[in-house]
Amino acid sequence: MLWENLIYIGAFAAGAVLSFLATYCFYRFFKGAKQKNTTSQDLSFLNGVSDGFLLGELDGDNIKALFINDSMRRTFHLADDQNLFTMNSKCTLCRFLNTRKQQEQFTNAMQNGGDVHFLVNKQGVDGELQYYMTAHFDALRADGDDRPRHCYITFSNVTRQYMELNSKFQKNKLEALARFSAGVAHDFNNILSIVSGFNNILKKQLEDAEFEGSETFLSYLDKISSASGRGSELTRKLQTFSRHKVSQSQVHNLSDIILGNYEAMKMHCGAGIDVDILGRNVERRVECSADKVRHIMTLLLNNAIDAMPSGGNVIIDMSGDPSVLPERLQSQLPAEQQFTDRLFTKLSMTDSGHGMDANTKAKAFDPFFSSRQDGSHTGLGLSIAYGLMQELGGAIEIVSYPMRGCQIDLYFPLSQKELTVAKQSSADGKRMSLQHVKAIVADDEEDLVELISSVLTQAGITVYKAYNGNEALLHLDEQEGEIDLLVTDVVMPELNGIDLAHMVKSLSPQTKVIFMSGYPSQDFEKGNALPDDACFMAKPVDHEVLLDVIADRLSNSNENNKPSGYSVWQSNSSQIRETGS
Amino acid sequence: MADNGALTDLKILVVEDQAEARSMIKAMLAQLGVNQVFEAIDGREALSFLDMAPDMIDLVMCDWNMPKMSGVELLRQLRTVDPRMPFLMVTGRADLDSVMEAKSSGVTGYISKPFSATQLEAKLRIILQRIRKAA
Repeated sequence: MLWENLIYIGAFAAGAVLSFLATYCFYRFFKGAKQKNTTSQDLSFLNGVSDGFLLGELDGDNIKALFINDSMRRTFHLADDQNLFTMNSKCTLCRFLNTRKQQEQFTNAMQNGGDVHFLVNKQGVDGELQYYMTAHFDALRADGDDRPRHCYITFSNVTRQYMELNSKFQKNKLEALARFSAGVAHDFNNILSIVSGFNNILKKQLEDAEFEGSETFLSYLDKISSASGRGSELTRKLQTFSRHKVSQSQVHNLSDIILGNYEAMKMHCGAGIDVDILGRNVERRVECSADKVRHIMTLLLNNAIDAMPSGGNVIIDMSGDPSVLPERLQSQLPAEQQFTDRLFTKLSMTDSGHGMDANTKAKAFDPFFSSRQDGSHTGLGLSIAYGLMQELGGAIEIVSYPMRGCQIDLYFPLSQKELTVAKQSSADGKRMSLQHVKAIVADDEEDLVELISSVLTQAGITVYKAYNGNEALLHLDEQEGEIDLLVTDVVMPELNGIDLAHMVKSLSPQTKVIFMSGYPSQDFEKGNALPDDACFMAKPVDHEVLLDVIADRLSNSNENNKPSGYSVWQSNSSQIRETGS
Repeated sequence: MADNGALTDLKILVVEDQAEARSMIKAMLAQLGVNQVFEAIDGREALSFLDMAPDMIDLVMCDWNMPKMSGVELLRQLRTVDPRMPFLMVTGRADLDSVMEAKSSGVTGYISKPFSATQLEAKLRIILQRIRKAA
């Protein structure tokens, strides 16, 4: 019920101004009425006001309207000469209200005096309309007081404010839910790690102990292990719900993002599902974070994969011409962007699965709704996609018929700006050009190698993994020196990163080297010369920045060229100095 | 399994605000033969301990997420006075961004929750190697 209160507050501003105006007219009118015959000419200026206004005299069981403005007449479909309203619940005005309680309050105020206000919704031509109605009825007169009682009624169309608050509420709901989920996931993970930690300790002690029945105990502890393992899976899913930090928005060509992601999408779908892209040659400029777009595609693909357990195909269609956003979807936009002539480009993803029935379609975007009853899905996928499309200023729609596949339409707002592409070695330019890059990733920590490799692989780079310096050199040898890039940690057993870099440079001079480390001073002794164009990641970096650095290193053969937008330490013989912005 | 002798000599400072988690780490380390374990409940305690007796500690093992001072914050402050103290960060999230942030702040190694004694042992050995390399 919270949003109703918000509507009251929101509409109160409009209503307050109008009430003030109404009260002003009310008293001015009747002040004038003492001197001359009351006419409605004084108030005719109210015909130009967009809100509805009625001024009346209460006469027995009737309200005699002294003035009704045009807007009011239109809202209630009143004829020009209709001025009489019977004061019961069947009254035109009263029937406008939605609930019996509202009607009772209204008639009560009519009979006994008072002020009332309501939020009323009505079905309009294009959808639901929201009105804010206020009514003032003079109090009952004292005995002997023959003055007539008067009333005024005002009407404001607050549909816009309502939509705006509603969509803000949706957004806030999702944001609040995301924050909540992240908090829960984090705390839960802490608890899990204690459970599994002590469990492991117990297992170890039991393994060493060997007494009768210890095997049974061990099997019980294994069950605890697997249960806490499932718990970890769940927290990981919850964490992806709140994953996105504020990422950089740039102007991309949407088709380039999709095409650049093509390999990754095919891998994600697996062998049984074909992925086709239509409209790959069109240019559609969208201001967005490429990461968000890829995330949305992954979420939709997950749904498609689930719907086609025995394989099928997915068609991504970008060929449609840009057009204005359909009216039925306008409410997904922020209020100030609704009903403009902004063009949107449509991207449809269609699978050949079992489709969604009307029930499922209606709930598909709700968080935690999953048509799977087996608890295997968090039900967050489409609601995240919905939230992400909103963040991009676009819209999403499900067009689906049961047993005929599911089509999900994404509407992206077109941007008139230049592609961020053209200025620097672009977001897309570099994503594309990373397709044929070969890189060695070396670190003695396996997890880090896996993480970095997966980010690079997603960007299209072919990765050779190494867990120490010697393995890295082996890869270099096997690939016959065709390695473009070495990403390595500095301190590694057997052959440290710096020596490795020197050796790689001497065997393969064109290979660029990026050190993953902070604080060069930590790892270097004085006089330990670095290769001339080595590059460090010194400030906290995320994977977008990592890919930026890589693309930059590979596209600039001139090492004096400063990378922009992030900080790196760049070496020049044995000196280390900071460059970049 | 390789010689535990190397590990048993380790003197570790565990920085963790939650008592249960602290005792779990201590128990796990004991199982690995590491018994010289000191505890700090927050970053400030850790920093003053290290300030008083830096030679008494071979390795700091610190939780990423702590209320008053975060693990990264502690790391950065430590690095201004001691660029070499080995630092093992215990992270809640194993995504690349958290890891990169830890790495680029000067962490020597990281391990993500939940972890097993075997995983912890592997990490400690890696760090030992790195300590020896630097020495």
